[in-house]
Amino acid sequence: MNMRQILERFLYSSTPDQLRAELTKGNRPLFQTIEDGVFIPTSELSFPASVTFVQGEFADQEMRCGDLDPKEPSELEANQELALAA
Amino acid sequence: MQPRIEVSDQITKGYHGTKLDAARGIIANGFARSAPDSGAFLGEGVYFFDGQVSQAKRWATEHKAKTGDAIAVIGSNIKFGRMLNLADKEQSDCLNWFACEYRLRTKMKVTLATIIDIAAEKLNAQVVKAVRIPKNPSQLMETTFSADVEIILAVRELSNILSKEIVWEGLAGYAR
Repeated sequence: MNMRQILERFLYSSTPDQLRAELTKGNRPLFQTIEDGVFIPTSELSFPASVTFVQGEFADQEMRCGDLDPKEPSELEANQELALAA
Repeated sequence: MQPRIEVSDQITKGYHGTKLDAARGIIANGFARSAPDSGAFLGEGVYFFDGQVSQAKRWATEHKAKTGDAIAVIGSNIKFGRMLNLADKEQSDCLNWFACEYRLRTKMKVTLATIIDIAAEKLNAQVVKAVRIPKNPSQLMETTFSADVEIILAVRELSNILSKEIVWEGLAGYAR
C-alpha cells in the first residue's frame, strides 16, 4: 500500500471520537507550537525554492482536502510570482 | 501516483547539539526519545541535523545554554530505514491532505507536530526527515544557495542510531 492508502485506511476506519483519542495517546506533542514555522519545499532543493508555509496550527478552513494539483500555485507562490514580476 | 514510504539502507551523518554534560550522559547511557514538551515539531524522536554540524552548534547555543556554558555536538551514523520524508513534495502533499482531513473529521485544531507524529506512527516510520527555513524566506529567494536551511531528522527508532561520539565541544556564545 502507498502512503495515502495507509493513512486513508486509518482515517476512515476510525470514528471521530477515536481520532480525538489518538491526539492524547502516548507522548504526542499536542500543545507544541512552532516558533518559526516550518517550510517544506514544494520543489526539489533547487533555489530559489518555492515553499509552502505551514503554521503550527493548521488554518485549514482555507485548505482543500482533495488531491493537491501540483500545477496550481498556492496563494503564497502566486504572491511570490507577482513580487518577482513587479 | 501516490508516494510510497521507501525503506533504505542508506546511512547518513547526523549531528545533535546539547549541553556538554548532557552529551556525556548520552555517550554513557544512550539517547532517549523526546519528551512532549521538548520542541519536538516532527513528533517523537531524537533530533539531528543531517550533515550540518554548524546547525547543531547553533541550536545548542540558542536553545540549550546560556552564554559561557559548555556545549557539545554528538555525531552519529544514522540509518534512514523506513523514512517519512517531508522534504519530498509528494509526501508533504499527502501529509497536508491527512492534516486537513483529520481536522475536518475531529473538528479540532491539531498541531503540525501531532499530525506528523500520528502519521509517522501509522506508517511505521523509523525516521522523519524535513527541511526548515528558520529565518526570513525572502532572503532565500534572492540567493542561489543558502546555508540557512535546516535538514532535520527525527529518529523514532533508536536502533537506527548506529553510533555516537562527541565531535565538537565549545562554549555557548563562542560556538564557531
